[in-house]
Amino acid sequence: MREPAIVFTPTLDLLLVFTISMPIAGWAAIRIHRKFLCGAYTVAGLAAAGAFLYGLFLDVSQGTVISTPHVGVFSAYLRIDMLGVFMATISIGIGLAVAIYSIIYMEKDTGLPIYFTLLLAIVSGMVGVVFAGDLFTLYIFWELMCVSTYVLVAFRRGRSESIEAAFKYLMMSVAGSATAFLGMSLLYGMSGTLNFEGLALAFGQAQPNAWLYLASLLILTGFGVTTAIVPLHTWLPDAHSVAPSPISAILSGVVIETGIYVLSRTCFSAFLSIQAQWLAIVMALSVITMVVGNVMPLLQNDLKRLLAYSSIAQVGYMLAGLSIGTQLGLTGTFMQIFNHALMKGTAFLCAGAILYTLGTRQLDEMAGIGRRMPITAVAFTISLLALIGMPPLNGFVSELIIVTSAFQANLAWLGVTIILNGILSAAFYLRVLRVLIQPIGSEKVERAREAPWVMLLPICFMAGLIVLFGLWPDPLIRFTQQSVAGLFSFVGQVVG
Amino acid sequence: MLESSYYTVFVFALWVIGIYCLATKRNIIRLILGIEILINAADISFISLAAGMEGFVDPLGHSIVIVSIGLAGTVSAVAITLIVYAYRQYGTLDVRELRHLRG
Amino acid sequence: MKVDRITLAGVLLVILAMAAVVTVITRHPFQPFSYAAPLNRLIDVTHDVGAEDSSFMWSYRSMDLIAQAFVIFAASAACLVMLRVGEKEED
Repeated sequence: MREPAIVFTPTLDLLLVFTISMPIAGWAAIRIHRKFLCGAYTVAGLAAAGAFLYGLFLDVSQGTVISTPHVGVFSAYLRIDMLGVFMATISIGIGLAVAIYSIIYMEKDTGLPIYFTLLLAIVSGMVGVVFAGDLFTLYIFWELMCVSTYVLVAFRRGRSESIEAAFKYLMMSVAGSATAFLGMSLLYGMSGTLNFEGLALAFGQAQPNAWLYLASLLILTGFGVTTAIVPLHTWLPDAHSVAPSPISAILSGVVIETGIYVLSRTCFSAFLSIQAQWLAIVMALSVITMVVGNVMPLLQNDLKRLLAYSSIAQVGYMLAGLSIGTQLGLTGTFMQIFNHALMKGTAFLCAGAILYTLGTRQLDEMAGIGRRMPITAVAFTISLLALIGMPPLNGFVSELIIVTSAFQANLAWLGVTIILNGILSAAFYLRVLRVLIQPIGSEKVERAREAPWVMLLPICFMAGLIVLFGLWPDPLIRFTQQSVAGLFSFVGQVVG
Repeated sequence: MLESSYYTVFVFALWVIGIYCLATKRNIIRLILGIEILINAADISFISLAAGMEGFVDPLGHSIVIVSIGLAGTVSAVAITLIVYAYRQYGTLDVRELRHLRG
Repeated sequence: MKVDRITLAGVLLVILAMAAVVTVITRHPFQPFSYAAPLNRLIDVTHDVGAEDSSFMWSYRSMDLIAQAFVIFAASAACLVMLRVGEKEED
């Protein structure tokens, strides 16, 4: 058997190699008393992986890349199409921003090398999930991603709420993974394979069976726990508010959306024959998710909890786009994923900057902070306006695409619901804005200063991207359309 | 070998027992065991379905289960580490008391 | 064994769920591999199943095994960071 020098693709390989070597590099960095080198090593690894990802993008533009020694219905391989490259871009990009931000934010913490190791493991897991060619490889990389997040939520272990939130998150997420695994076993039992192409072939034209419905419900429930679909979302506000802010950014921004990727991938390969009914259930859940995510934050006083609930609402919008099921609807969903990663990432990093300076998360204690931290406040304002869906920013474009596809598919009530929810969400986002620009309320705010420039760098860059993609969305729309065409490639194979 | 329907009933019984355990038990160690029961239910499902054809066995199902057993072990290890730390700090193994400490 | 309301509700739901599952299974029995294409990788039970399983796994599913190794690495790093020796930090 020929020995390949590269196990997976170069991108994934680099990320995994950096994950393993990070503890050694971190130990060396601490020995020479230069703590920031841990972060610098991580940033170098992510940047190198990003460079190889660009090369992969050029390869995939010519046709789906498959990397494996053997290809067959039962062997494990990576199947990289444009959608995989799209999601990997988001993961590595947000990971890079979070790593740069963490250099200063986590400066005073102990255990920093392993923090960065686990951060690299999260990004590796996410890239592996979107590159996987069959459901079982996806499951393994999913577990890699999730296991690294459980402990990062409890990283600041001095407070009891961190441990409790991490434990609740762990319980619910593992129960969800096990349920999804049971659903996968039913799919395997019926078709003998867990490969996406094999599943599409086996189930594409088949008569819907009661067991297929059961398997689809189990997979929806299982991956829905991590995606924070409404009855299963109770872990999210606690976990995202007690995690350190860069980890909240990566959790809210990307980890949640990976669940939506998995659901759409299985929908368009294994559940092709029961698509209409399954998507109807997803549609109902998306409306409930949107409403809960937009009503709950009206009562919140804690800034990070408010942002966490708004993540739930945004997941509702993405699920609405998925449930419409047309190419335009899915383009809207994946664009919303990209934009939400940018917007929510910026929002959480700014909230972290405020937390770093003031030491409090409560909204009534931070009145007027915008006057003392102008750059952070401007970036925060841009991200909040984008989350509401204001026109010149990127949130508007993706929501417009979802609403348009709803009207095109004769689901006008869904489009109207999305618009109403956007208006409803303005209530609490504008409340945060008002707190930022109020007159200064307390001594602590009076003495606050702007955040360190290393922390401002990713914040300003992401805010700039929000404005850029709002004014000039065409390249992004084209990229997303190519990705969705990749997702629909199974539909063409089976029907045509 | 029994009919595959019996195995399926058994798998779902285990799954329901696992969910019941996660929903109602107060002791954290029992919650970990509930998670193990859930994962093992899925594993038994894979093994019993891999033997679906008479006289033959499908190695794909077996490979999946072998890897899944390893993953179940890692997840339990991380959960128990959290519990060890919580016990050292707060001296309690009751999940409802941990929630009250938060207030 | 303490019986409070949650336990009672739980047991009731369990019995209902099992009744539903048994009803579904008896009306729609599960036929394994009903949608499968013909498989050419099956192992005869009279052979040495363990050895043939492991040769299948190493030749065709090696990617999963390597990924599992990374999961174990990440989990051990997680355990180490949780039990690290350090000051109790304030947030």
